[in-house]
Parts: sequence; C-alpha cells; structure tokens
Amino acid sequence: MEGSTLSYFLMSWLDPSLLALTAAGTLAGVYIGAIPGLSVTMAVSILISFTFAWDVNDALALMGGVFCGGVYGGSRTAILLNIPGAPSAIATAIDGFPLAQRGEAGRAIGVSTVMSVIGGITGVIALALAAPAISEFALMFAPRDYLLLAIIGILLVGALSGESLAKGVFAGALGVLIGMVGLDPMTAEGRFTFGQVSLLGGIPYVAAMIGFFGVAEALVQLHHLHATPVRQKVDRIVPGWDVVKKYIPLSIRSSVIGVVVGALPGTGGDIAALMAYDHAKRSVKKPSRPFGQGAYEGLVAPETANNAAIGGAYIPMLTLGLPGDAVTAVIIGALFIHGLKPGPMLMIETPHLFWFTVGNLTLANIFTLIFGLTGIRVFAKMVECPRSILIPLIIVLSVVGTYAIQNSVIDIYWMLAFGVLGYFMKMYGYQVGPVILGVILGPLMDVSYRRAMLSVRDDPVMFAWEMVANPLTLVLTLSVILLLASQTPAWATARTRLGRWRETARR
Amino acid sequence: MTEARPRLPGERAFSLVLLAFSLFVLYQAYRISGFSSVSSPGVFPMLAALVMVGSLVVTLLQERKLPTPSGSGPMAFYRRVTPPVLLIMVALIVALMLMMEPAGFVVAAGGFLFASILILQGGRPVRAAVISAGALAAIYAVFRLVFQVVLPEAEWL
Repeated sequence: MEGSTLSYFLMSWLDPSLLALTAAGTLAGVYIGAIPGLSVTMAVSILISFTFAWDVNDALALMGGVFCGGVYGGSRTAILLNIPGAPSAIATAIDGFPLAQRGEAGRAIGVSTVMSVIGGITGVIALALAAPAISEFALMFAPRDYLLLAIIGILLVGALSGESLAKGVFAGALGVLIGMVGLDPMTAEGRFTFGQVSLLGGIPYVAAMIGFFGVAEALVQLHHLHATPVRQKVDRIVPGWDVVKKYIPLSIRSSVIGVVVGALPGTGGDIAALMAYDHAKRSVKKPSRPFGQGAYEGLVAPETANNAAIGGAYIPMLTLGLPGDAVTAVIIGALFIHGLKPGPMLMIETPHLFWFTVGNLTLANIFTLIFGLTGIRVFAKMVECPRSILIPLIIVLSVVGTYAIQNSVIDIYWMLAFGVLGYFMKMYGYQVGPVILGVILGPLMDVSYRRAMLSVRDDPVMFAWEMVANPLTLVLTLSVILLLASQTPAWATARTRLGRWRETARR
Repeated sequence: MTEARPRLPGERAFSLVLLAFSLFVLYQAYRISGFSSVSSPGVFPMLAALVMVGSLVVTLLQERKLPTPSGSGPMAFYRRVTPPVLLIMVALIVALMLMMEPAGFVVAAGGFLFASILILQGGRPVRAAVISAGALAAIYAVFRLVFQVVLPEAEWL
C-alpha cells in the first residue's frame, strides 16, 4: 500500500507528459494570475471545456498548475504595478507597491515567491495529512450535515467577500436555483423546464461559469480601458537565506490561517490573504517598516496564506465533495464531466486520484519557485498587454470554450446571458462567486435536505430535533446561527457595548 | 464589508427587477409540486426562491441608506453603467455568436477580433489587423491542433 501511494504521488513527476503539462500549467498560471483581467477561475472554467476529452490526470495536472501559478502570479502585478492581478493579491499590493517605489521590487518579488512556495507546500502537507482523516470522519456525516455545511459555505462567502451578506446570499440562492433546473435527481420530474426539452438536462453549468467569470469580467474591464501601469525597475531577485529565515515564523502562522480559511467551504485565497495581513498587522510588533509603507511582513503574510489556501481548498473538495473556494467549485465541475464523484467515497474508490493530486500540487509549487525567480524581463512586457487586445481575446476564448462543451450555439446564448447578468451584478455590488458555489452545491443541498426529511418520515418537528440532537450536527447548526447573528445590527451593538464594558473594567 | 459607496444609477431598478424575477421563480417553484409534502421536488426550489426574495428585500432596505447617485435618470445610467463601448461590445458578441455557424469560426472570430480591437484602441486598422491575424492563428493552432476542439467550419469554404 505504502509503495503504491508513493508511486501515485510521483506519477506526475515521472511521466514526461504529465510533468510537461504541470510545468506548462504553472507557467501559464503565473501569467494568467499576473495579467489584470485574467483570473484563475476564468482560466480553469475555460480549460474544463478544452480538456474534457482528455485523460482525467492530464486535465487535473494542467488545472493544478494553473491554480498554483495563478494564485502566485497575482502578487507580481500587485508589487510592480499596484494593480492586484487577482483578488487574492489585493492585500499584497498594500505593502508590495511601496516596496517597488523604494526600488526594492526585485527583492520584494523574490521574497513573495519564496514565501508563496512555503505557503503552498504547507497547504499541500496539510492536505496530505488532514484529508485521509477527514474523509474517514466524513463517512459518519448524515445528509443533514452536508446540508448545513453547504449553507455555511454560502453564508461565509457571502458575508466575507461581498458588499453585504444579503447580496451574497441572494447570489448563492440564485446559483442554487440555476442548479435546480432540469430533471429532479430523485423523482426525475422536470423543474423549471417550461416544457422545453432542451432544459430537461439543466442549464449547462460550464456555460454559466464562463459567462460569470469570463464574459462578465471582460465587460467590467471595459470601464478600465485606459488605466496605464507605472513601470518599475527590477534588480536582484533571489533573496538571501537570512532574509527568508527571518520571516519563517510569520509565514508558518499565516500558512495555518491560509489552510483553515481555504478548507472552510466557500472561502478561498482572497479572504485568507486579507485575514493573514490583518493578523500580521496585529501580531508583528516591530515590522521592518510601518505597515502600508513597504513592510516585508505585509508581503509575507498574505502571500503565504493565499498559497496555503490552495491545499486547504482541496481538503473539503476531495473529502466531502464541497468546494473550498470558487476555483475548486469549477474543478468539481470538471470532475463531474470526467465521471468522478467527489465525496468521502472518492478516497476509497480512487485513492490514486488523491495521491496524484497531492504529488501534482507539490510539483506545481516547485515549478512556481522556478518560474517565479526567472524570466522577469519577458514578464514585465507581457503584463503590459493593453486591454484593448486582452478583452476581445478573453471573449473569443470564452466563446470557443463554451462551444467546445457540446458543440452547440445555444450554450453560447446561455454564456452571453449569464455574462450580461454577471456584469450588472458586479456593477451593483453582487459577487458572482457565490452563484457558482450555489450551482455546484444546490443539487447536493436539495438531495441532502430531502434525504434528511425522508429519514424522519417528513416530520418537520423531528427534522428540527435532528438538527440539535447529534453533537456534530449541533456544532454545524450553531455555526449557521452564529454566522447569521453576526450580520445583524444587534450583534454590532452588542460588540461595541462589550468593548466599552471592557474599557471601563480595565480602568 | 467595504466602505459605503454612493449608489449607482439604476441600482434600485436592478434590485426591483431581480425581486420581480425572484417572485416569478417562487411562483414557478410552487407550481412544481405545491405544498403536497415537505420532501417533494418543489420544496427546495421554493426555499431557495424565498431566500432570494428575502435577501432582496433586505438589500432594498439597505440601499435606501446609501447616498443617492450623483446623477439620475436614463442618461446617467447610460453614461455610468451602459456606456456606448459596452453596448457595442455586446452587439459584437451577438454578431460573433450568430455568424459562427454560417460563416465558420475563422471568419467570424477574425472579424470580431479585428472590429473590437479597432474600436477599443480607437483606430489604427493595420495594427488591429496584424494583431487579430496573429491572435487568431495562435488560438486556432492551440485549440484546433493541441486541444483538438471541434470549431465550426463554414460549408462553402
């Protein structure tokens, strides 16, 4: 058994084509993450439709590489141009750009590369250690627990990433409804089909993903057509060991934040990075410079955390079938297309897939280190690709990607409709991430809810009792209640009162 | 979570449209199986639609507190939310979609790239032509040859 685990782990290291795909994915990911307007979620959504005919390992190797490289790549633009290339690099720009202005861009990139890889590897180790245990534990989960976990995921991402919880929850519920269209998985009854045969199979979710993350984003970018980046001089990149050593304690703490936030269903690297930055600001008493003016600590914390969140996000995906963030939601979509069903049984039925993923992500991190410390000059040129070229390219790629799923123009109509809807949602402060989570989680929530209800013979009182009777379920129920309560005005009042009370108590 | 931003023109209207849509969806969800049982196929869609309606009501209440948009009326909406460049791009995407099967991918996408780059960069047709030809060749090579994606081809070519 041990021997086979190692051979699965090394699969992408020894097979030349998998090795090449991982390398290509990582390299592409670094640029995709770095170019503002291209996102990892966008790239992975489009990749699904191009790779569905491939062997599943090849597809996963490419996507894993893009994921790792992309989360890292966002930091480059944040440092050099003060434009976060990806949402997970927003916190990086706060201290990264001041560093570049001081002429330390090269060193900043070097430190962020090494720290990203430390974070990334920590995330993968956490995945390798935690997932088998969680997966065994998950076999005890009842349908009601899945329902609650999914609700927690949507609430978390709605509360943390958007403008308001209400808008986040709306987006999540909209996604759930999109996922409901078509034949009911339990009774094969049509839902929201309006008598249309084409709707019986449901709304093609890859078209929805590409619409929301590709077209909608491209349309929003039209507002920033003429943003011109500021160029920075880049010198020595590879950081000395003493510099790295100094920040290791902080990077480990940030990695833990990253893994935990990544592993919570729904929340990913963007939130992890902001939380880690906040943690650094509170915990580092003597930063190298004040935060916001080019503190290396302000670079280290978000960069380790967002990369650690990758491994974290794979944990619920591979053990429970719940997406850890928007990218893993898209990857779950890819696994469905390849006929795999992520969930507790995945580790038992296809253990090779798990160890392959762990090995592949490790490899992708090594490639991130290599590509991160080289090729910086070419990079600076590529990133300055004007948006007047980039936006039409994103749209053509989205159209080709959507068409490729089932060679149907109707899917492109869906994609455009979702793109336009997503554009308005983004403009008015609705996040589109929860929609995709909802699309993936909706059918799972529906089936879990009904199984839980059937197990108590349709008795709502018994159903409510079940929600608090089991210790695990009780914890989950309380989390949902706490999450909802924390968003009400009463909670804020209570917190300020508590704070005031503490102040007076101290005096 | 973020700082209160001023309301954009059309923001309330958008929320109201979403609310109308959610109510319609709620009615449709009710029609799936009514209130026949608590585990019927229609229950979860109804719950989701109810959550949509509820969250929009909360959003509409919260939006009342936001500062009103600097301009209002259709003109402000047109300027801030749907500027001409956006409308042109959406029209071009629709054209690309309609032309893909009759004209084939190469012609449709090539035309789309040329037209949109030309408009977005504001002139310089030679540069736009060179870039779109290069991009098209790269896309064709990568996707048709490497990924082996079937792209629509015109019958008359």
